[in-house]
Amino acid sequence: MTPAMSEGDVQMSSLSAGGNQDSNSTTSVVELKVQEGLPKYFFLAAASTSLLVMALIMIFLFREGLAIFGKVNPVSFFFGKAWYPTYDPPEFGILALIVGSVSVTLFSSLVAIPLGVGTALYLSVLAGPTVREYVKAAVELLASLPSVVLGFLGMVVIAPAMQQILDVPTGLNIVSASIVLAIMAIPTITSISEDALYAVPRDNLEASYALGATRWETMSRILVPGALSGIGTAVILGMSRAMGETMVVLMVAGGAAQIPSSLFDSVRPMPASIAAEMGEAPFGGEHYHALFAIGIVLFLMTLIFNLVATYISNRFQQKGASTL
Amino acid sequence: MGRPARRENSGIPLRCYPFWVGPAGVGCLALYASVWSYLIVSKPGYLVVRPTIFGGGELKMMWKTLWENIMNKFFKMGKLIIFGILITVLPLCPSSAGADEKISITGSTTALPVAQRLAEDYMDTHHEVSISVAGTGSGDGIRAIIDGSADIGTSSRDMKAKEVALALEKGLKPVKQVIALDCIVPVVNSDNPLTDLNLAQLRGIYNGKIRNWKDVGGNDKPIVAISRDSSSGTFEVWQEKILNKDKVRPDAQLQASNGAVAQAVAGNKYAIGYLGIGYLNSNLKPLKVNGVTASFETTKTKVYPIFRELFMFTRGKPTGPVKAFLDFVKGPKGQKIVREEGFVAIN
Amino acid sequence: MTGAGSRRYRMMTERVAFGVIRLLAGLVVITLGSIVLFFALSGCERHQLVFPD
Repeated sequence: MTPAMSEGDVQMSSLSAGGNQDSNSTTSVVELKVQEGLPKYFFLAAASTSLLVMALIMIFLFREGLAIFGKVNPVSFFFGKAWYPTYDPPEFGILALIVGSVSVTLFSSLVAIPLGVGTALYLSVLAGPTVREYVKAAVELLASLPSVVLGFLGMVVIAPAMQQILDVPTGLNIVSASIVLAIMAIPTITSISEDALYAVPRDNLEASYALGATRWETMSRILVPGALSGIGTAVILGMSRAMGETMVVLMVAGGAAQIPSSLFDSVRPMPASIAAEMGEAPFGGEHYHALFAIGIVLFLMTLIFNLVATYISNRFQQKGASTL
Repeated sequence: MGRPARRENSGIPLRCYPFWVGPAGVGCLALYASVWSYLIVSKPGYLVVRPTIFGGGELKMMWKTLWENIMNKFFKMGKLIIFGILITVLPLCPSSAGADEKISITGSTTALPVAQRLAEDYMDTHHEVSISVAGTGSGDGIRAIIDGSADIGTSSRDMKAKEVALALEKGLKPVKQVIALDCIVPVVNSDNPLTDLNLAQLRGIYNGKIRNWKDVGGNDKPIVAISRDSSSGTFEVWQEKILNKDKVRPDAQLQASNGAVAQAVAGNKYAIGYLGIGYLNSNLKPLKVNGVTASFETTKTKVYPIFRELFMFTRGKPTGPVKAFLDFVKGPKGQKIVREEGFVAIN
Repeated sequence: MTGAGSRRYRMMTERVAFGVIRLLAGLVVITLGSIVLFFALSGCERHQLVFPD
């Protein structure tokens, strides 16, 4: 028994005759208010700090990024195919970078959605309790792998293997980057979809079974439609993670600023370009501002993804006993 | 045991203020603030963020010396925190622990990692000197010397006639010192039969005119050109010595570090890349250029064509702490660091 | 039931569909397993090989 506890015992025994009524009355209303107020203001301060930081980041991003449009025509910036920022004269056309990001994101979601949603369905419908625990833990472990580790894996294992097996010119291409990104997106998709599937009211499922539906019929017509909003949110969030991911695309996508003509071409997605060039871009120069403008584009794309996710989860919300 | 919870029955009014509301918190805050203000005022060198993606080193650093680096920095911070405490406790004699000689270095981003290492190692043995290092470009280094905003300007090119004239106008006679040689070697996969390329062939490969190995005497296979990011110093050398004014082909793979180039070439039998001579390893096959094998000797004698010098400029003849630092840089310890950072030493 | 068809057909559908789901989940687990295996098997030796001094 610790000293603190025994002290408490003494106090309690000495006061036990007084009872609850007595001890409560010694805590005045004012003190109670102070007790409630302090944590409240503390959390308010914490919340407003994060909002303030967010706002400052936004202001900084837009101030630094929009400056490029004073020097470069927006049309030639967004639709120019040549990205030669350090040449004389420089060319700032980010179409190839946008196409790179979009192609990698789309292909990785093609890989990740079936695997992620399939795993979630398996966990919530088919798996027994033991298997379920282990697989869940394993998928969460997958989420905790740092992106640089996965990028290293892609660079050292996936890319050379793909180059040798398929005999394509280079293994650092859209497909290998997408596979690695898919590995990163699967845990997000799986865990959010699984929560959504879990939130579908049991009553509905039991009603379906009572009508004589098989497990597959119940799953495909009751469970999945009921959880569709959550699954949609999961998919969009997984995609937005793949879109914003930097380290993997920097290491595995190859980094060629070209518009790809096949899935086995190298691309240079936007985050990779920012990460690789920001350190060397002269502070306050055109290149510096152009990289911030790419940051704005990336920010807007991710924002759109998140808005779509919010919209889906509000619009198709399950109305019933419980909601996600 | 049906022991009631303490909170319900204790007669003492509850004041669950967090620990930071009180003298202890104020003390902590003061200590924290004083450490940081000390850092900002007297050790700006530690606060310079190394502006490269892998923290100034290369990919190999991450795996091999990450732990070492953390421990190193941790102990350095530890020392500084002790300094900070001293200053908090003894506000009457703060000058005893501070550094009184300051050297500022600015300029080339190529030289930044090596300048940073040199400064750190020098400060480890010379506590009275504090060195701040920044890197924004060779032109800035020379400009900083001329307008006096830095003591040493690093540069990967010589001064232009215009800059010399500007300096003379201000009554300065800038002195240049070569501190290292930057030697770039083209490499191919070890499965590639090729051994030798000339400058014109390299130029053709990198500007996109030559797209098949058979055009330079290899097998009938596509060439995958791997380049460094267009903002890196290594790329600058390549641009200057190989590409001349041509643009690098758009499908060239731009890698963020020498380590990444080594990895990409080692993993692809169609690839060609280039990297600093310090990054060669047994998985890569260095090519001769114009028949000359790249080595420390051929670079020093300037027989090997793809290299450049890294300079440190001073405002006049270096004196005092600046001279001592430059002697350290050109001495055996400094040149050892130069080699470790992937450059060729000058002696 | 809207999903008209014989009991046999319904069971077949269920088996195929669940088989696919099991396959997908299995793929994810195998991917994870092989990543862990890769890092377990290729320790410092491999990194030494890739990034020597």
